[in-house]
Amino acid sequence: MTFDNPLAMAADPRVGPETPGNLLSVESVEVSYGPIRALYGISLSVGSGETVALIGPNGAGKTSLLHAIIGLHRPSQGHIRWRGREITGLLPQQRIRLGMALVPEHRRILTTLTVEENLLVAAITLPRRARRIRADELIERFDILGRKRSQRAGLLSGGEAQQLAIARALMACPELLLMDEPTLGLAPLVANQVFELIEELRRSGTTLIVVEQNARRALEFADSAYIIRTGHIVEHGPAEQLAAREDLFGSFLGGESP
Amino acid sequence: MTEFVQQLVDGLGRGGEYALIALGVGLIFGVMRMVNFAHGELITVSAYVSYGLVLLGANWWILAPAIVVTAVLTSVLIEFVAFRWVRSSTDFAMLLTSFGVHFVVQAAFVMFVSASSRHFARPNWITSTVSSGGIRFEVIDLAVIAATAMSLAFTAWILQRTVYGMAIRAAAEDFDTAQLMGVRSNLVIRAGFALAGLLAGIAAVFFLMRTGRAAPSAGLIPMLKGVLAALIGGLGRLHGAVVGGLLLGLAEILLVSRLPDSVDGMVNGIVFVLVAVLFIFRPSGILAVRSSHRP
Repeated sequence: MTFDNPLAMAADPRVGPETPGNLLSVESVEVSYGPIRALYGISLSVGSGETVALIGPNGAGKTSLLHAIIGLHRPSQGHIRWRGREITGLLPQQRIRLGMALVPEHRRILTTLTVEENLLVAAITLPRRARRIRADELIERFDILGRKRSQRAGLLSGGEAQQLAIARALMACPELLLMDEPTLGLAPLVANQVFELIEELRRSGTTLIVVEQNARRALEFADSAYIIRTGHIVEHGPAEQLAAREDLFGSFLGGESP
Repeated sequence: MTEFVQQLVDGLGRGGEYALIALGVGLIFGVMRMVNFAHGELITVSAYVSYGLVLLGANWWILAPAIVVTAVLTSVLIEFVAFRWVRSSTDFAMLLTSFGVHFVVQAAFVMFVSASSRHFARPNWITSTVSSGGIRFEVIDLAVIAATAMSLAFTAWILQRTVYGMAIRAAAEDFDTAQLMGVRSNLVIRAGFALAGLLAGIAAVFFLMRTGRAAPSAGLIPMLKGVLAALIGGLGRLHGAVVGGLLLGLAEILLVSRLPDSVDGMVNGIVFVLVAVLFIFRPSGILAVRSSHRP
């Protein structure tokens, strides 16, 4: 059975009734670290091709939410569905094969591998012959990586490492790309390049969930946004509407500069 | 000079065996973050399989591949039966499990075979030597050096050139990230154990050729030497394990040849003291470098 076929989806007993057309639905998800609760009954849904921003102060639970979606944390309650199919119990490596990818916080590139090896490992889900071809495609797109192809990834600058982290996540042609603070720690000029890249991905039809500290910037490129605070979603809606609400920036977002 | 070259070859021959075991210990440490004190059991089990096959009339042409296959299967089996279930628990639980496997295997042979050693014929060329330029080399040392070089080249090829080898290295550096890249954790760990088993099997062939002995504790000393060599080189640094093994073998042979016969039995003790001194100055082993990761 393939889940690309809508009829097959409808016949699958795990398909939720309320999620037609959604690529990803998160339903009442709770995540705890031991006695500490990180997420309280979070629900969100993301349509195919949509760009969603998750914004909120540090420690609000944004990363925990991305980790729950990709499978690094198992929710204590709630459901995560992919095209209506229950995936709450799947491992990260299984979710990657469904078409998700994460650009993790702090990039987490593999420093002892070369730039090219970082890409090839991320191609492990592709057929053998396609791996190098896909790596070459991305190296061509991110030309900075081409020049450092055989260099150890640990020697890259912050901006280069971020490009590698994004290129790596794109290796398996994901339908949904999760990005955790992709501009954190980058110089403004380099951060701008990353924002341009996000815009390019958005235009290419990739579905994006982006965690971003710079709330105003995030609301510029996103279609919709969720504002998270202390593990709760406190506001959500179209990005344009939220961007117009000055009160949000003062109360929830600490008034970041544009 | 002649004598020194002979000792060098002798030391590399012994060190090659340690290097193969240490590389396996390093590989398993890489994918599991566990020092596998059950690694010597691969040699113990292989020793009894050899003994059994010799009873059935097998010669070393059959024994050698049988030992390698046994070590690979035993390694994968131990992972499947024991380590898989404790993988997500604490490091200490995994360490205890590895000791547990060590003692269970040992006890099984004591109970079902015998507590005393079983001997089997060593190959008849084991004491043969060849001369070149007035220097006499033991054939087995040359064989170990050649086999070690080939095994290391093969391992390097797997780890550097194949995507599965890259996945093992990726998992060794950061397991969560490797999983996020789609690397299947079970597969990469099983591959690590299989490769470690292969290397231990090749070491076991030569170790058993030298000793011709199966005993419940046959793998203990080689395992300790392998762990020590891996520590000397810097745990988890694979080329470090190889360097550590060769250095350990050389140090032992050079010490034995220079110390008076009366203190021969203390060589192991002296080696351990030297290693302890090394760790005072290089706590992370010889090849440990500061991380070159830039934030």
